Amino acid sequence: MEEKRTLSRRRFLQLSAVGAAGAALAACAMPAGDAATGGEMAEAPMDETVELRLSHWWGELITPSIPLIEEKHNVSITEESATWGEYFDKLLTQFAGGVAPDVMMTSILKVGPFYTAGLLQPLAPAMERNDIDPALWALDLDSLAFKGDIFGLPMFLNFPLGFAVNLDLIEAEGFDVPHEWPFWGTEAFDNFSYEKLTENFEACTKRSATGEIEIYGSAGTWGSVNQQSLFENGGDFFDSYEFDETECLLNSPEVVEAVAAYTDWVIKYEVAPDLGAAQAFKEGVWRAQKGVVQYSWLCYNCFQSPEATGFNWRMFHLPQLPSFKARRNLIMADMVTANPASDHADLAADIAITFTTDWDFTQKLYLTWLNLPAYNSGAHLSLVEDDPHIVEAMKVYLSRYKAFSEDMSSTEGFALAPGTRGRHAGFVDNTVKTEIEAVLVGDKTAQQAMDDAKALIDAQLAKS
Amino acid sequence: MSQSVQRSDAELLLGRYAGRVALYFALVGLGIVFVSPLLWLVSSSLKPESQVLAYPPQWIPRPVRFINYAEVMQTFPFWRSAWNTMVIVTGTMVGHLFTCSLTAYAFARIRFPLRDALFVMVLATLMIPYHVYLIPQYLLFRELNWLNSSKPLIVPFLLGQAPFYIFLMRQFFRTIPKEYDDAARIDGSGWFGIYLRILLPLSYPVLGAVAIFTFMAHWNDFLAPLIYLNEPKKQTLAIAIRTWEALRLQAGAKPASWNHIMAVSVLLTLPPMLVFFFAQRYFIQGVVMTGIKG
Amino acid sequence: MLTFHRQWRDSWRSKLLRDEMLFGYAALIPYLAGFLIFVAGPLAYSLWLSFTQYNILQPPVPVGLDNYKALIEDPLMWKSLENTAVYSLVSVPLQVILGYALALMLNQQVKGLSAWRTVYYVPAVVPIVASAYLFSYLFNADTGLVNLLLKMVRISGPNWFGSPDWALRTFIIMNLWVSGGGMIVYLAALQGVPTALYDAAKIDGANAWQRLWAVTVPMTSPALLFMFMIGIIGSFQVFTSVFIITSGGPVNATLMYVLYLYRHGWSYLQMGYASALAWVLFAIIFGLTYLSLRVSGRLVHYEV
Repeated sequence: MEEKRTLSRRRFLQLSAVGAAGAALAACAMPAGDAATGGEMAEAPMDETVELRLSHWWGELITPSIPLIEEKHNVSITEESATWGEYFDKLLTQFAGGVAPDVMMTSILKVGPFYTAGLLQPLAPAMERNDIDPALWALDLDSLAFKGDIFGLPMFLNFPLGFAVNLDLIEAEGFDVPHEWPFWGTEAFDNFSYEKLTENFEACTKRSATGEIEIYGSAGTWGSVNQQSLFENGGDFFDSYEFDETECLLNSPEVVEAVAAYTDWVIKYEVAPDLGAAQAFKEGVWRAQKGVVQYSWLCYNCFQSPEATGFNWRMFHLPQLPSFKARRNLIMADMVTANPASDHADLAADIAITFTTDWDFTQKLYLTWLNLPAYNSGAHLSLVEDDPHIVEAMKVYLSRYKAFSEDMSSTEGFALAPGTRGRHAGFVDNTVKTEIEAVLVGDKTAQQAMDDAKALIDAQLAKS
Repeated sequence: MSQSVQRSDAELLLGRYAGRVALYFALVGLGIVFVSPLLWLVSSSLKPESQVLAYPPQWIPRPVRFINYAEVMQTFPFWRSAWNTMVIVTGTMVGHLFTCSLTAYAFARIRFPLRDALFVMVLATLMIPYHVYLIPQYLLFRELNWLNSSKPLIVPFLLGQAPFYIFLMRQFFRTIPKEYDDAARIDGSGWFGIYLRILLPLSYPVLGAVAIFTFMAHWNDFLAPLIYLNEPKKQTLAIAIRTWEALRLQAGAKPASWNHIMAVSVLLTLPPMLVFFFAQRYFIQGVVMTGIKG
Repeated sequence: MLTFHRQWRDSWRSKLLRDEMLFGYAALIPYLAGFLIFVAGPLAYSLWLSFTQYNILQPPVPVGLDNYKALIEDPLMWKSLENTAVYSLVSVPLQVILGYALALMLNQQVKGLSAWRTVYYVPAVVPIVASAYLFSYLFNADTGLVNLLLKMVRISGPNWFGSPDWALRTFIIMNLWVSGGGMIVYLAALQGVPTALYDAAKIDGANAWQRLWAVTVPMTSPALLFMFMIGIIGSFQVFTSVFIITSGGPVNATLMYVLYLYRHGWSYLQMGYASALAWVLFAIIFGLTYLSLRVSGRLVHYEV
């Protein structure tokens, strides 16, 4: 026993020594200084390049394009990447510690608190300095300005929502579609109705003998869609979008009708996946070929050739809601902003401009994931000309914008809707999400849910 | 109770036999329930996309697609982030095995004033959600100039700031008979000697458990590394995988389907599992060595 | 303080006790140093924050007891507390019972012990993120393995995570899957029970069931108490799995306390309120822990 014990003690010590050696190695492997954190950024000597920190949630997607910025501005960029879900946790912590990066990707969804706390730099002087041509901007910059200041430039073209139809699935299942889909180039492209859409969905929904849905007519989920549809239907979130809102308007007849229109596809017509089913397909109901029509932000799944999706599909545009009032796209911009507290504030603003407008940079960046930058989208379209399928998708994508559209009628009456949820964006999002869930599980009517949402949000607004 | 004593040998044997059969039946039944999700995980990770949602469920992938793993590992820097994670895990484990066990020893065996009050304090620190002192701690590490390094993720643990493990080891130490201590004292061991020569060698099972728990907790730790490590090249595996998943959406690339997600989950699970198999030997050793049981 | 003084004085008088006492303090130095440097300050700061309005981006403004007053009138706080309490107080005892039963079975000199132990323990090694993915896949209403298997025996399975009635229960089931974590601790404890005690009990004529209650359970009660308390402490702070799988839905059916706290602190930027929530949670967990210690004081057997 004694012998065994000694032996095992030695074993234990060996084990620990291995551990300790690992830790020691690790300590050596760590960069000596570790002081490259912001706030105490050393003043750069004259002959050395300035070091700036750039934070984003794009992982390593941006890395290949970074040298272009470094060269143009003679800077050395340190990237800080965090995932979308936690990016703002980190940015908030950094702001709390006074060590926020010089250039920051932000989202219009989340920007309210930063803006109201004065933590973002107005970019107008830098835009002037860099000769930015507003005519090359498909987006209405005014709708990104708050009380006259533009504090972040959009990275890519504002997302319109659209429908992508899986043609192969319709053929394979032999669905008899009553109304011709309003594809690009057809008469109906810009003139389709909610009723027709619903009838097509019903025709494309396949049920088993026991009544379970095997293929959904609409593969779309309701979440983000509502926000856009309520604007199209003439509704509004708030009385103001300048971060001084005093009243929530979510219980207006227009909003309630829009909410009902989309929740009805799930609960009344039963042509769209319910709460549980929507999660069933990690790659999406549409991609899994369990739904015929995908309704989503166009950029996410659609700019891929049929070879990539594995089936043939075509796109069409915005739905016509029951009391469709306006062609409005929601601004859902990822933006690049500059930290006014940066030691090199002007340079940081210049880099924010380059990031969003420079031809070489955006070309390199966006070609890696086939999306259109906000600035000069039309010119970028030429880069993908060799794939007719993607070109058509992008033409649909651009069809609302006068500067780039080949279908002028669809640009009539087009306006951008504010994407911001005001000063209490997180609260508003969670509240609306929960209330709509209550509609989807049959606890409340759309009217009741929106009345409750309004009451809760108003109470929150009254607090501050 | 006395019935069993009066039973005939044959009856006893039969009853015993039936009991054993029932025991193995229960073990197999429960074993299937416990293991099948994991088998499903592994099986799904090797399936082609078309088979992932098939009905009736198919347990054997056909064809077996090992390439799912290659496809996943290509898309993020697996080895680099695994190494970064390893460094943090090793450091914290050293802290847990040494500092926490010494602290636990003091709480379990040594009599001194304020001991119980201090122990309650240790326990109490377990009860505050990390999310609320993250910012205060961040401010502290900023003052120490430790941001963007793995020090905030290691040093506190080297100093035993892991109440869970202190508690676990204290409870375990308290079940070890004190006679061993007394015997060692007669042999001339001091308090530290008892810790080193008696308690630790008798505690392989719990040290093994601590090693596994530590490995799991820090292998997967997500929020703290994300907050403290800035540069992508310092990222840990959990962050790299999360980034990968998020990027599939962001980049408009083909979103991951279940087979890829399951492959990633297997990759996440494999290293802690290897540690478990390694640590298993120490559980067994502990049992054999102490000679306490059969 | 008076007792502390007396204890100190008594200990100091005897060399033996003095050495023991001094060693005790010396052994705690690393931990206490770490505590004072890294934990005490941030905790105190967060306690102070709970009496302020703090949006993270601007300096905190003291508001006295406002956060605590608001909290009492916050229906979602009560909803999240109820969800969490149900989750915790149902899943932890079940987990302890199942884990202990497994350990008892494996302690019957079964053949291939290490293989069995692996089978039951391995689920507990699966990282939370991975098991969250796995369970949202397994318990998928339409395509999950569970409902597919049920369908084969003509049962239409519920919507699990997608149903307000089932979502919380599904999390409890998910938590049972990792009962092997406790099992391994119980097994270690069971193997520490001196065989002599069983022999003595047998001589006294105790049957297996009586031996279990008279010897096994009391001798392993520290491990049981430990797992129970750790289970309560941990499950009251459940976050990651809920965050990944349901984010509190549907219709707040799985809105857990820490998730709600997280929302307030990091999404609504009310860190003062979140801190107040945290300290209330602390009081609740502390109370429950204290209660289980008091109740167990008579039941738990320690080597003294």
